[in-house]
Amino acid sequence: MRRRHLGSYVAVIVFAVPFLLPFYLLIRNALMSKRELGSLDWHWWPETISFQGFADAFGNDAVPLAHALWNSALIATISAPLSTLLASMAGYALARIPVAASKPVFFFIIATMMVPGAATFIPTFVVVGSLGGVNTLWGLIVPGLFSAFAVLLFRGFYLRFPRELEDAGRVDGLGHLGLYGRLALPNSGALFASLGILSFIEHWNAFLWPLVIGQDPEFWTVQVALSTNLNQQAVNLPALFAGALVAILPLVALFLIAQRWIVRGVLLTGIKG
Amino acid sequence: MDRPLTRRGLLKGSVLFVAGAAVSACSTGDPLAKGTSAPAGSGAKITLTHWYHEYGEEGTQQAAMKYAADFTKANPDIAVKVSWIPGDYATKWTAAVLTPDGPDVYEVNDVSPNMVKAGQVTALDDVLGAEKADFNPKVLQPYTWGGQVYAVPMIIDPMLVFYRKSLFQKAGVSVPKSFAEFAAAAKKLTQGKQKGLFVGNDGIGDLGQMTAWSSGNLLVDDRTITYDDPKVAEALTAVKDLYDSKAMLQGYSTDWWDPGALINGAAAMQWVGLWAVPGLTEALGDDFDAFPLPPFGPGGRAVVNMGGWVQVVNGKSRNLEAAKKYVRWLWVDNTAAQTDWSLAYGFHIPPRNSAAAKADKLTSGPAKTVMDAVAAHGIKQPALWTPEVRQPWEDAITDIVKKGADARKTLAAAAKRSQDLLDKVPVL
Amino acid sequence: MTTTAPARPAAGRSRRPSGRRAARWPAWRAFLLLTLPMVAGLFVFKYVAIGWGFLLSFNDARGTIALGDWNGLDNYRRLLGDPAFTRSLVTILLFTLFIVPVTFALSLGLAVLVNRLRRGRALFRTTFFIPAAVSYVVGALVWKMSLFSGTPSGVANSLAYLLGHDDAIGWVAAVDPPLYWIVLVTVRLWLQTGFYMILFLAGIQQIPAQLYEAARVDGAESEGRLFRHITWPMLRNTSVAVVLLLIINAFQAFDEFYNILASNLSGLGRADGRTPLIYLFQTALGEQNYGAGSAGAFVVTMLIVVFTLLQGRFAGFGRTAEEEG
Repeated sequence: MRRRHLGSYVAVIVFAVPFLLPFYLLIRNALMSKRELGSLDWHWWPETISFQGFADAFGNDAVPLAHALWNSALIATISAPLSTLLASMAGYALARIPVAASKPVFFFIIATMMVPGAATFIPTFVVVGSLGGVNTLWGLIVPGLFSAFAVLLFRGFYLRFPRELEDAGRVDGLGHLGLYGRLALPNSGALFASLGILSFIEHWNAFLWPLVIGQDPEFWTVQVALSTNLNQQAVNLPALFAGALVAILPLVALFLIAQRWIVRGVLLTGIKG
Repeated sequence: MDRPLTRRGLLKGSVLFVAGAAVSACSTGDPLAKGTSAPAGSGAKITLTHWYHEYGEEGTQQAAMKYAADFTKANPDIAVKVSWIPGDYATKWTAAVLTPDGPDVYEVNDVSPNMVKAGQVTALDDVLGAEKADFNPKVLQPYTWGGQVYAVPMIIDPMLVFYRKSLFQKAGVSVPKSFAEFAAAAKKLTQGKQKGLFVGNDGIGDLGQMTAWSSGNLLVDDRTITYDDPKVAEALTAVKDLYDSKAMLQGYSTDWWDPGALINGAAAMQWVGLWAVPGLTEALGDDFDAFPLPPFGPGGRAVVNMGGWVQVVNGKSRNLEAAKKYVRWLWVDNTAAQTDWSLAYGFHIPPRNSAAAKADKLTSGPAKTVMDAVAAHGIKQPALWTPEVRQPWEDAITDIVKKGADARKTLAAAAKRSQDLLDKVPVL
Repeated sequence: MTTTAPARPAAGRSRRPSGRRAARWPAWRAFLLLTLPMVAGLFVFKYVAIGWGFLLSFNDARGTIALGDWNGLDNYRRLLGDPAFTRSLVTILLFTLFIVPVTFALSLGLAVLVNRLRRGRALFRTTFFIPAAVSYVVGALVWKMSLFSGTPSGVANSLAYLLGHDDAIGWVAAVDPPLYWIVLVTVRLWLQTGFYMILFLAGIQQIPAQLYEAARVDGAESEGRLFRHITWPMLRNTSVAVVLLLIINAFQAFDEFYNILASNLSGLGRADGRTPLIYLFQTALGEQNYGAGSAGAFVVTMLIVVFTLLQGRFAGFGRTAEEEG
């Protein structure tokens, strides 16, 4: 029995090394000098720790990294709660407001789930472009606000919402909107948080859509800025890695702090309830 | 009944408020949102947007912004916002000019009939004015459609092979006079961690197209694809042999347009442009020079690729006249700025004959070698070699050079596709 | 943990009298108010978009996204006659056939392994899960410029030197043999394995412990047998979900292919490793042919939709990790 456990630990550590290796590389490379990182020989750790990479990453006029971070933060902090709220509103109406339109609307919404998100970037670009959304903040944000899948999850959640609570609210004189805003929404905090955090991660890491819709550096997200660093005329390696390190820090911190919610969200979205 | 009612009202209000706040945050409330009118503080009535791809040399971005500021000084009612677009510039401008809010002025390498037809460019004969005669006709020609010129050339960028003199000497190699000598030199110069030749991180770069040119075939002749040709097949097979010989640097940290590999000794020869000369001089002194890609086979010709950038005005610009005025001011009238742009950072040939003649910096050392090579062997890419027409050819090169596909058959199939695509390009 | 099953519970449609009364105007108003933003958004960005794209695919839309220059089936003919497009479909099929089973096995293996730990389970779970926080762009950047860079000091090349290979290998550029696949597959493995491990781990933890005890009483002692007879069958639902998600995500691969393989300022990547989405990106944004691009988007979308429908359960699998926006 003991040996078997020892074996498990050995195995798990062997696997853990390659999973952690890229993080080590990110940190090592970000702290190296240009010369050391560009050399043809392997170094385990920078001879002298240099923060020049960070200075260069933020000092590059051509790739406004700080502004891109701000854009990403703005997009993710607007999109995450707003998209979750929109889904919760629709989910509640579909679950709890008995009108004849309920079923067709429900099918109207979930039918869009068949259509893969990324594969339709050209049609979406055509529409958003025609509406004047190229190189605008709304063009970056609005098309990503509507998740049929989140509606489905919220609907499922509200279907199981205790009827007694609602009845009590109704006695209190609340209408449908009141029931939603006063009772249902405040009581769906866990689901809200899980889906909201996932949505935040998704928007922070999104690449294809921001790449297509925001060409002007003013509207670059951090992922587009990093990708540009990678394709620049002269790649400044330490700055490249320093920028990447800065870009992943918020999410790594989020993963360490709010892992419980993220795992919950992953389970909700990963497995059809 | 009073209380619940209020509560309900409040709630409705707050839901609406949240939605409203969110919407306004997306559309107008954001401080970073792109200003549609003139920037606050300046008295300008019109703001032009001007896009550049990223020039790698230090100081270029500041220079571009200074020109724009100078223009506004001279024309206080027109402000210019310079956007510097590093990375994948080509797909960025193509997406941006589809919409009404694209850049007013931008730079490109090619102007295709499709761009003319879609109004992404506008005729600039009036901008060129009387000075049109002073522009290098070779460079003006590919931008001329239906008798009208759609671009003002900004710079000419000759590309050819640069090499380290000391490394040639050490290996006992002299400047090659034929492709066979060139390939042999690359192999001989491959020693230890040093590779003989660098043409691009994918191992091919432009070498396929250039070698085909050096066999005497420009791949396209007006509206006919010509690259289904035994000579071209032979040329690509030779490139494949060179590729297989492991004499070429691949996957370096900078790509072929940056002279880093040559400077650091990672490669002894590199396909790069005139722009790299100041950087090379600073790092290597006079330990470098250049030569055109030597002729391939008996009917061949030496090749210097005359690339470069031209300025176009977006046909959909809301401020067409102001944009034209700006382009004329900068790229026709303002000879000081043109000289600065061509010679103060990376080296480029000024497209105006009068300016090129006065470019002292290009009359000595390796820059002179390049200038002489341009005069003798400069080739400008034919106008109808558009990205779409080009794609089958580029895939064919990969198949032939990297995967050993049968050159004749692959080229024949690709040429047919290129021809089909070319046939769809509108005639202007 | 997957307790939010949208099963249609008894609570669904109430037949109480209040239900009828509520169905009058206030209910309608509330319903409209709550669903309208979502419905309008999906209408514009899904229905109109796809409809417009579909119409545009019958237009000669070079350099424009406006309808008006109808050219029948030309775009589809161009697309299906282009070996580059068909090859991109084969490329993604091979990629999918490879990455799906490998991710599946690795994430399931790690889940079983982590679940067996007595101490440090949370630590190792986090270790394997945390790459999921990293974007494909950053993953691609580390892989291309450090792990598998072509310089001798890259990690893979340094290892190769240790193993006696004294020539720097251009991992990303190498097509024959296609070493670039190692780069592309490992980066995706690193980025996505943790996500699926979490799903498996939850599935495993839901299996009642009594099942194992009963099996042990019945004499099934070996770990392998317990896994075969209990864990594996009990994970059936999770496995099906994981496979579907993996396939749909793999089919839409773009980010790491774009960032690792594009080696041109022109952004037009190369023939090998060109996925359908990369092909479409080049056709639409690189060559400005929005008609052919829309036709391609339609073909790729239909392939995924047909596949999803074939699975008979389209609910819940349309979402991808990098859904636009």
